[in-house]
Amino acid sequence: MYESLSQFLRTFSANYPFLWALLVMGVVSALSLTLYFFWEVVLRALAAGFSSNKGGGAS
Amino acid sequence: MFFPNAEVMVHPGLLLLLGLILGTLSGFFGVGGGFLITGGLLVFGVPPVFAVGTGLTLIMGSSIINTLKHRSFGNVDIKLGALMVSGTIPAIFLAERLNSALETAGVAGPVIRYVYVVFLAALGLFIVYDYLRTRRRSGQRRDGDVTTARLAQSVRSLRIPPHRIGIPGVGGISTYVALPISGIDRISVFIPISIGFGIGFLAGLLGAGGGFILMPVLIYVLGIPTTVAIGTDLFQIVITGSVGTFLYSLSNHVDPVMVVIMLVSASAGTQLGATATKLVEAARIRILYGLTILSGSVAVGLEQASNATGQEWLSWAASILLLGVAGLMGLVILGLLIAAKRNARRGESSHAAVGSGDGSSPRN
Repeated sequence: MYESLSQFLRTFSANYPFLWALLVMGVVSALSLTLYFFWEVVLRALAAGFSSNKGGGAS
Repeated sequence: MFFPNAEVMVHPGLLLLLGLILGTLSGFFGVGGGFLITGGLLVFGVPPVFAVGTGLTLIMGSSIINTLKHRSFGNVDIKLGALMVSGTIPAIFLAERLNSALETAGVAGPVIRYVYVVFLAALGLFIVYDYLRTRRRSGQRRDGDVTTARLAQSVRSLRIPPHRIGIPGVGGISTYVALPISGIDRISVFIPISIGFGIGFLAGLLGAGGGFILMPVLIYVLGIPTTVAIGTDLFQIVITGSVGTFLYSLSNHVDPVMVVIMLVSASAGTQLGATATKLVEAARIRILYGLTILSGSVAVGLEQASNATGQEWLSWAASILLLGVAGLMGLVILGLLIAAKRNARRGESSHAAVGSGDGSSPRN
């Protein structure tokens, strides 16, 4: 699996430089947005969990 | 693990650690961290040109996450950032032309490195001096206090002609704007454009991204609050980093697998660094930044000494110093964040105790 991915990365970057540059930028931007939203969801869920625990403990 | 584009074996754990440190420092200081990431990748054995290209691509990704995070805190002045970028991009290209001319004349390498060392040292010393001076001046120091407050006021009130520009079909447009997020009521657009141009030119000449210069300039020359300077600086880095990523990818000097691994851990670091800016005193952010810049100047100095004398160990010492200080700063930021959270919780519980003693409802 990783072998075929490596092969693709090597040949694509060597044969299509312009498309390669666009692909790199697109993948990095998309991954950055995904990671940002992932952490937002995780942190909000954690905060909600903590506040509900606090509320439960107080009552 | 083997990385196909850079054709190098690197342990992914080291890349995850480097990404985490970079994300934390970048989110806390609002800089790209090019000097750190390139130095780190070189230590891991990545070929120099791939270290620069892969580092720039990681900086673009982590700056996107950081900008979004700081934007959610209201720390990004997009209007100011856009004005500065319009000056930065042409300046980077102009500086690269000058660099090529210097290289042809055979003076580029050493001259640029000496300028870099002096510049970093001067900047770091100034930030440390400013911190000590403002602390001594007032026992109860406020976060916005800097020694250059008067300079910032005069720069903001500069009136630069033309005051209006006529656009066919639209009419006259004022060349003055309000930047409420930065706390500026009225400023000539030529000031941020010129600052962007100057930073871009210097950064292009030094072969750096420019974030490390822009952040202090926004604080000390324009008088912008530290957290807004951090957020706006990151926004600018997204644009300049994208240009660099495109150019290096075009010449096939980026390893995307390496970037993906580092970006995953950097995203966790950005949460830590950006959140810390909300809780840690602005003056503390500035002094830690000054100390990091000073260690950067020593590292570049060691690198220059290694090049001049041919002593390989000096270059290693430079990289280890850089990574050691960066790792230490990451731990300090984590410590400050934990302490600030603890203080906030203590404050909350004492409020609740006072509230219940008064018979009023507790606040939380």
